[in-house]
Amino acid sequence: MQSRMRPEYYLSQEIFEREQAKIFRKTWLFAGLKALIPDHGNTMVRMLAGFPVTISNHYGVFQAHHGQEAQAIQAVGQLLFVNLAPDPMPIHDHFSPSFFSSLESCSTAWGSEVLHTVWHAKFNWKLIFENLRDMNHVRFLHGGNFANYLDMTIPVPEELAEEAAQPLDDTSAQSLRAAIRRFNWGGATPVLIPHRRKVPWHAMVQPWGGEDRYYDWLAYPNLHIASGNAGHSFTLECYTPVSPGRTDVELFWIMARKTQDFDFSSQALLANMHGSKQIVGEDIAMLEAVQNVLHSRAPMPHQGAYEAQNRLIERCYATLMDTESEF
Amino acid sequence: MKSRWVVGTGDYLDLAYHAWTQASATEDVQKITVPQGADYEFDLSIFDTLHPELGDVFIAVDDRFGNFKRMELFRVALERGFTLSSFVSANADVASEAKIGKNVFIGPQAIIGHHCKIEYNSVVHAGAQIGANSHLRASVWIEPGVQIGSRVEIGTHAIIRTGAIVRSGIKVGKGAELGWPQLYSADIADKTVYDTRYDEPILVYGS
Amino acid sequence: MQSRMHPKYYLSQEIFDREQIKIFRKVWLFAGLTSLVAENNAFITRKIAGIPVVIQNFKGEIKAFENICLHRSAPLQQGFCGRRALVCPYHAWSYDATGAVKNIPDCEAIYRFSADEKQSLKLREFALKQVGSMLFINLSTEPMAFEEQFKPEFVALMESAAQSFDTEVMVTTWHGKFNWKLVYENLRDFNHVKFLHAKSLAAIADFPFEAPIQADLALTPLEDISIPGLRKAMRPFSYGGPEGKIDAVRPVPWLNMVERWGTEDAYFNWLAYPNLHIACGNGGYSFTIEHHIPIAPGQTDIEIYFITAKKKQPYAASYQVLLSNMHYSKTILTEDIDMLEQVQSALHIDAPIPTQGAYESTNRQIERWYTELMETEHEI
Ligand code: FES
Ligand SMILES: [Fe+2]
Ligand SMILES: [Fe+2]
Repeated sequence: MQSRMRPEYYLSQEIFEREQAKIFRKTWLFAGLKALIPDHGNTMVRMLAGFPVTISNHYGVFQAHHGQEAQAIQAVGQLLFVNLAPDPMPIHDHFSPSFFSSLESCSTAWGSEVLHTVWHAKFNWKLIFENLRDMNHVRFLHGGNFANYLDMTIPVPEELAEEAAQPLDDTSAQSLRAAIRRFNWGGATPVLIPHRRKVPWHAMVQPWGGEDRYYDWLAYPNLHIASGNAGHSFTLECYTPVSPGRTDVELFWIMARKTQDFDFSSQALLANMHGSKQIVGEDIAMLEAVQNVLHSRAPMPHQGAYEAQNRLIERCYATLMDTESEF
Repeated sequence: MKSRWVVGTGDYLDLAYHAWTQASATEDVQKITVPQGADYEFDLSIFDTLHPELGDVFIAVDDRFGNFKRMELFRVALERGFTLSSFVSANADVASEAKIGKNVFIGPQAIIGHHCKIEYNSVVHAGAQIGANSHLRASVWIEPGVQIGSRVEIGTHAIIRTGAIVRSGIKVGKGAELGWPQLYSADIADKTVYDTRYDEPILVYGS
Repeated sequence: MQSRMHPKYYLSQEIFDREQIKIFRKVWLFAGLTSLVAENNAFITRKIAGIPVVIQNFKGEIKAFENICLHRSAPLQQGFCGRRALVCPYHAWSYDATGAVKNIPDCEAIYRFSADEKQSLKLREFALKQVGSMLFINLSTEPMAFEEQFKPEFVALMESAAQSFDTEVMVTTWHGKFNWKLVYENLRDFNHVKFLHAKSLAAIADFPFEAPIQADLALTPLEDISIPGLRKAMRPFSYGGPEGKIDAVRPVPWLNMVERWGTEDAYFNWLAYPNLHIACGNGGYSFTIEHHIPIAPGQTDIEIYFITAKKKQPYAASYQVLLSNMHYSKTILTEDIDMLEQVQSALHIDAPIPTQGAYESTNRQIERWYTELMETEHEI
């Protein structure tokens, strides 16, 4: 099936600004971790939808300000989300109750030490979401390492494929919010990790989830969380669109809460980060290559049934970009 | 007294001559310039006056023409039966079991790590550092102060210029020239030339 | 006489985009050398007029396609050149010599494409033309005939030379900070040699030139502005041959190692409008191909290929011969590049319009044609 994604969605400055206004200033955006401002008086500045937003800890209450203006903020376990809309949608319009509680449950299990860095990637932010929802690329692009220890079967959501082929008839705010709620999901994936490498510190933390599985959460439009070692440590990736062809990829590494004290945890996280750097590096290199060949008359993508989830998002996205409908 | 004929051309001839003079009190060290014609060919007649029974030759031609010119004289000397002993500065720090080939020059303050192999006709200038288990093939040219990690392999005729740092485990192809002062952290294809006058590396395809 | 070249032609992004569409996506352009795609599965990639292109050898057949996978837009091949089947690295769709999708892994199971849909998937193909060991490409959906753009005698001489090219080639790219048109105005002007290259080129070669007595100074507007008329008008912009006199070639040993092309002790030049220049400064022993790739109004990549005539037999130091020749041409080219960068940096939108002499009549003809394309809706 031909995709709805025209090359200009990835190239045009005008579209970029429309996205900022109609998506990033309307939805709940990941805005950092409580652990980064643990004490009263701590602050951090986050770039959200092109604005510097100050997040502060006021006697354990978290606040967000753009200039003098207070912005809606919501804590979900350790995670902080901000909504910049003047009349923000309720967070449960954006996150379904089950997704919300799954995020809350896992992030509550995290420790307080955070490893953090930023990569400056040369691609449009949407490419990374399309890539994250695509299990089929793993065996080809990451053939060398990742594919070996994770056994992935590629799900084909048949009903969604049907649905995604139809136009989105109801373009009311309510319908669009219902649509975006479905893009956010996470928790246990069907992917088992049969041969998890046991390293000593795994025994010194309380893993989340209790199964040797790959855990994974996607919060549209700017957050991905994954645990490739059955809930012993977690990586958070926050995507900040900088321009049509630039996206900052911010990485946070965090451990499940310690059951006993040990002083080398930052080194363990660092080793995790270096380990995943190669895989994420392969993704980034591929997406930069895609961005690099895109031009205004490039052919439209062609998707298969397994990409139905992406097709649903594209349907919603194109409605937002090409009509006056809003969240 | 046996003779030590230091044969070649250019500044490097001077350098090698002075190094040999300082190093050997027991030899009669002589500097012999081999002229190059307009077509760059050497005039080899000088070799007719030198005899292996009376002394040994050290060939000192710089990296011109990708070290092929030094190679040319080296071959001539070899054919005429000279031993072509290498020169290792008394101030260099060379691991005892490192293997050093014929006509190799190792300058003062150079450091050669354990189990290195430096093949014939290569030049390692003053202050260069070669990490352990590295392998320099024949006719390589390493400029002063170059830093080479361990387990590095350097192909024949390669040139590594001052300011270059080669990360451990890297393979540098034959005929490559690393002239941009920077860290080289990926393998370098044969005959790739990084010349500071150019915006991009110079590459060779086909044969 | 006042030129037609307003400064905006060298400065404006809008004009640049117009050039890309009205000239570079319409005409035949240099695309590479066959020696780089000599073997099965060998490929080169490039970006031409904003379009990514892969040129690939399929069991001896050389084809050019848009280098974008039809699945999710990944480049099918990456890097300047290499050897690899035409398979997308992202999800392994493969393509055949017609550009059709050959195989999609697990198509039935996870894509569920109908046979019709699968059959409709075909890469955009571009016209290719081989001239000796040079490749030319045309990005247009209805490419003009090669002979419409170039005169037969021009093609014949260039082909004869390009047949003698060796397979070992040295390549590099310089990033020039000037508009691509300045290079060609400079290349068509032998008058600058004795001033700008007084110590270098002028010392070894002599380029006689004259102002034709009855020069057509392109004072009147172009008469035939039909598509065939405008194509015909551009044909004389490409020319070549023995243009300079040189002193006897200095006998260096490598000359004996190659099969010289021709016998004439002359400085040969070929100019293929819009962006290719081939020079042979030693009467057929070696060739420099300069390919000028417009990047932005003030930026042009200069891709340089250095090749000798065919080697009689391989020898170890041949790449050093290429390198010393490359270093030598670099000294002369740098003199040109520096000058053109100075011109570009002094240009501004109110800069004076150039004043040309009779000897610059070819440039004037090109300018008349060029401004017609830029200022009207006429096409080639
Ligand atoms: S993008 Fe080429 S196979 Fe998926
Ligand atoms: Fe991936
Ligand atoms: Fe010139």
